[in-house]
Amino acid sequence: MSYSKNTKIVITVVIVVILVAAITLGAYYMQQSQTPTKKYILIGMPLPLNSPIGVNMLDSAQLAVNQINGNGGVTINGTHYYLKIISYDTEEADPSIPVSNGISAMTALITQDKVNFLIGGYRSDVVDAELPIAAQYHTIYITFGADPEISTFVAENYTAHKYIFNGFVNATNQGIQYGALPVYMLLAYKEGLLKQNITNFAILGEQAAWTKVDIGNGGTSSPLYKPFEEVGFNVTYINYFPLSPPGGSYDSLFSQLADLNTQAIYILAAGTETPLLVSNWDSFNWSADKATGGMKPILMGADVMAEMEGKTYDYFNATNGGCNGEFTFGWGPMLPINITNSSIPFYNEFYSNYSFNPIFEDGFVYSAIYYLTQAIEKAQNLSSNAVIPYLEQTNYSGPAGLIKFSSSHGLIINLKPVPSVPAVAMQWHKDGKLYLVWSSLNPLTFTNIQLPNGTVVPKITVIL
Amino acid sequence: MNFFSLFFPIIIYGLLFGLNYALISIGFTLVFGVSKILNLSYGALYMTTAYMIYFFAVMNNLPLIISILISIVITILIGLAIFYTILKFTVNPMIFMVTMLLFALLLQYIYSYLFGGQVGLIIPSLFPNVSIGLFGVSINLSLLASSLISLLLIFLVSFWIYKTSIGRRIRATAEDPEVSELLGINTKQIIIIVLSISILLVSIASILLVPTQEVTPTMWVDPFVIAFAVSIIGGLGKFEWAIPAAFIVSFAEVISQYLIPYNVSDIVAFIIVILFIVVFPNGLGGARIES
Repeated sequence: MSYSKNTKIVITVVIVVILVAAITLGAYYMQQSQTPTKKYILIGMPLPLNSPIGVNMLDSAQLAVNQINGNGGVTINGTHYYLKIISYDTEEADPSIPVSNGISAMTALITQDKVNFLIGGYRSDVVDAELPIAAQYHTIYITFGADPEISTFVAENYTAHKYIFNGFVNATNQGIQYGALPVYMLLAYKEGLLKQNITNFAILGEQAAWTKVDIGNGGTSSPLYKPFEEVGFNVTYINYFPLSPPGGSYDSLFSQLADLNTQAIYILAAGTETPLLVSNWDSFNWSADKATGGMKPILMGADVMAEMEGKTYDYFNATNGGCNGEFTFGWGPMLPINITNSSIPFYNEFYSNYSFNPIFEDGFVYSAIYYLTQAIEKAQNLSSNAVIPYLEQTNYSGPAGLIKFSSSHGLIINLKPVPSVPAVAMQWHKDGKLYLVWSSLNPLTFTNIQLPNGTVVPKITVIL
Repeated sequence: MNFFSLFFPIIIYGLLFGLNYALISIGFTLVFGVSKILNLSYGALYMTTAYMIYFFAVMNNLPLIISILISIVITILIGLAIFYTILKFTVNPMIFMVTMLLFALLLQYIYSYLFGGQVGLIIPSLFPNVSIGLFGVSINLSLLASSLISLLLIFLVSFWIYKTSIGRRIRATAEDPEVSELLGINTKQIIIIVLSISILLVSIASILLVPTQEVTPTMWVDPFVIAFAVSIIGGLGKFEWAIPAAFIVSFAEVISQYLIPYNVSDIVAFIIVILFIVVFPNGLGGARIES
């Protein structure tokens, strides 16, 4: 059989094309079969994502996940795993949202998404409702509520409830360090800043599980009443503040405080109502009531919303500048502070990624991803029961301080020689920026305090 | 704490808050009067105005007055659309009211989706956020202005209801819709007018009151609770009794805050409603609550 020249060329081209295609496809499939499918450790996060608080917590967890995955992930029995977060919005930063959202999120994460571990939770009553679900499904849940009941839950039935770990400072331990701050701060005011003796304190708490530890039933029976009185303060008022104040204004509450000659207001609030409270505090005409001598009370306390400074949410704008002068207390490197070697790198990494400051939970959430990963690697197992003994031995120096767990899985806070997990305080200045003014690492020294007249005092040390 | 340090704040705040509560509530009461239907989407319309102002004035930088006018128009259209959409499918009052509540929840989820459910949304105010002193009491100018505007609007609505021919037709429809129809009153038209006016009033309440608060997807609950409480206390559909009822709620809240050591102001409105249902089941105005 003889072919024409053209036919031979066509047959040659077709054969070449078929050969090239076959070789390419073969190489592709060989490569595919050599590339292992990525395996993931799933971390479920029930969070208030409708609020900047939850967004921050997710961001800090994602930062740690990206870093761990970037370094090759986790190896268990020779198999590489990467971390993956699945998060559900519980809307729990809004106090009017029922706890059922948190319960649904937990159940879905465990039963539908089949997550291996759970990290998250914010509002204490929501967290309290979530705990039995994690225990029921034998899934480790590292949570960040401040309610001491979280540890009580573990202690009352360790075998059934050992899956729960409280990765944040509980309200009792918070009170120990927070309580010292007003003493030193007002001494600073008395000795060097205002030359004024500030003694009359009002204490306002949001109606939440975590504030019950401090506010109790209100009045003189409140747990915070006696400690404040013992250090020389006169507690003029101690109670919860309403979430929906009469007439949509806190003016009538402040009118009471003015009548009681209140010179300082100490607030405990983690919910979303404080911008209104603080805006009213600023616009209230304190000089209208002669009892105060016209003095606008100093506003201080744990106000989570007041920690927000950045492009997603800015508390200064949310209060129409009303937070000018407010002090807020918190934990971890919310501004650059050298708590541990990882604090400032964490702050810088967080800020460069997200363009806003971390908040008080972020250093703890970031740490939780790391110490959980360490425990998994030590256990060489993804079963919660296998990981728990290693998680209990956690000794992790994270951005917020040294993380160690007690037998009831609460954070151990050593106070000496310096607090292992220190409190910090910041103040909003008239320039609309948040400044670090104090930390319990160096409790007698204050920096950058803005006085009521707008003057900023670079540094003052209290002499006891 | 002496007598006057209690007397003046209670009187002043009770009056100012009461005027605002009356503004929030009279539209709700009016609609029940003529249609015998509780507009359970009422709070959601208050929220709609706030979100619309946020959208136009803050997100799109339109002038505040123009944003307000557009927001009012949109709120009225949404309110009428909800009412007439439901009316197209049912005339059963119970199903009607439950569906209205469902629409309120739907709007909550829509705004939560559209605006990200974010907290901390603030809308601009027509008035400065500063306070003056009167009898030793601090009064926020924004609160004072909203109360004075509420007072003016209450007078205007009262005049409209009692001194105009359309007001007479509204009162006739409220008294007996069937007889009014026989007398040649277009009751459907009356319902549209009253519904529009009630939405206008709740929109104005939102414009006046929300700037000192925050815009959130759950913000509709508080004005709804106030409007509902005032309507029950005043007597369902009894417009003239809604005003004293509003003052009962406001004074009870303020007095409870001053005199009860534990914080109960969040639930005072509920407590008074329960008390009235037990003691004065027909409310101040004597309207019968049907079983």
